[in-house]
Amino acid sequence: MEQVPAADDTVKQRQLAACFERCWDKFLESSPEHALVISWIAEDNLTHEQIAALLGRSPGATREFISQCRKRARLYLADWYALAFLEG
Amino acid sequence: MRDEDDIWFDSLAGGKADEPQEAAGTARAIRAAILSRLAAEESPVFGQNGQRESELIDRARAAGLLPAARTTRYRRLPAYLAAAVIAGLAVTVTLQMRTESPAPVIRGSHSGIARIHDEHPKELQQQLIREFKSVGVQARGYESFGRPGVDADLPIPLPSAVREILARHGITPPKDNVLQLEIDTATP
Repeated sequence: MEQVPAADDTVKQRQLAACFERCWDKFLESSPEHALVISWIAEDNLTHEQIAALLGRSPGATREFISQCRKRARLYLADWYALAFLEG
Repeated sequence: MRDEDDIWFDSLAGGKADEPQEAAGTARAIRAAILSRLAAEESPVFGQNGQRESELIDRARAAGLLPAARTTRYRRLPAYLAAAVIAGLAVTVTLQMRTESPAPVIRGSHSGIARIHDEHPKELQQQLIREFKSVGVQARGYESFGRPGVDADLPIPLPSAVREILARHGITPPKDNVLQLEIDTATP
């Protein structure tokens, strides 16, 4: 039988989605290329090599760029992280 | 050996769903949120730049820079961001076709990027690329907001010839031998 989510779960999911939307928009506005590369990886499963070709950067610089993407995601998505992982 | 960035990257790309690390968990959550957002969104109507976007995307794909399913992401960007990204993409595509060496990337000064000053940054950029090439190191030129830059993955251990080039230009040998250098215009 199909599970119907509890009302609390639905509200929480909407809050999470809205929070992500706000954080992501700020990320896109402040650091568009890092946010964009993250979305490329998630949506198209790009490899390091494809990202390097897209950015026109060396493999080492691409690794550094991806590392920066992770750090910036942590910064700009902090509120969403807290809501998703810390507040149960 | 895989580090946390690799684990994060692999999970963001949808691989290995059972990895227990925190980096994997947060990456999977980001991936889910992005894909959920993508599914929920309706593609807004292309604005005036729509035709231009399509042309650039087609050119990028023809140049092998973009995988097949690339178009929708540009539509989701606000117009001003799309314009900025597309402008960067246009520079990338144009220069890639001519020199195989460009790409505008936003970068902060706190991330291992060396900065030097010169009265003629573009000339110095090309000179550095030539000098590195002369000692067997492939260096790539790029441009970030009008500031020329040079990327090079230097050999380990650092050969004396490379060390001499760095010293000649006042560049500190980079951490992990990944050189990321940007050249500012020297103020008189």
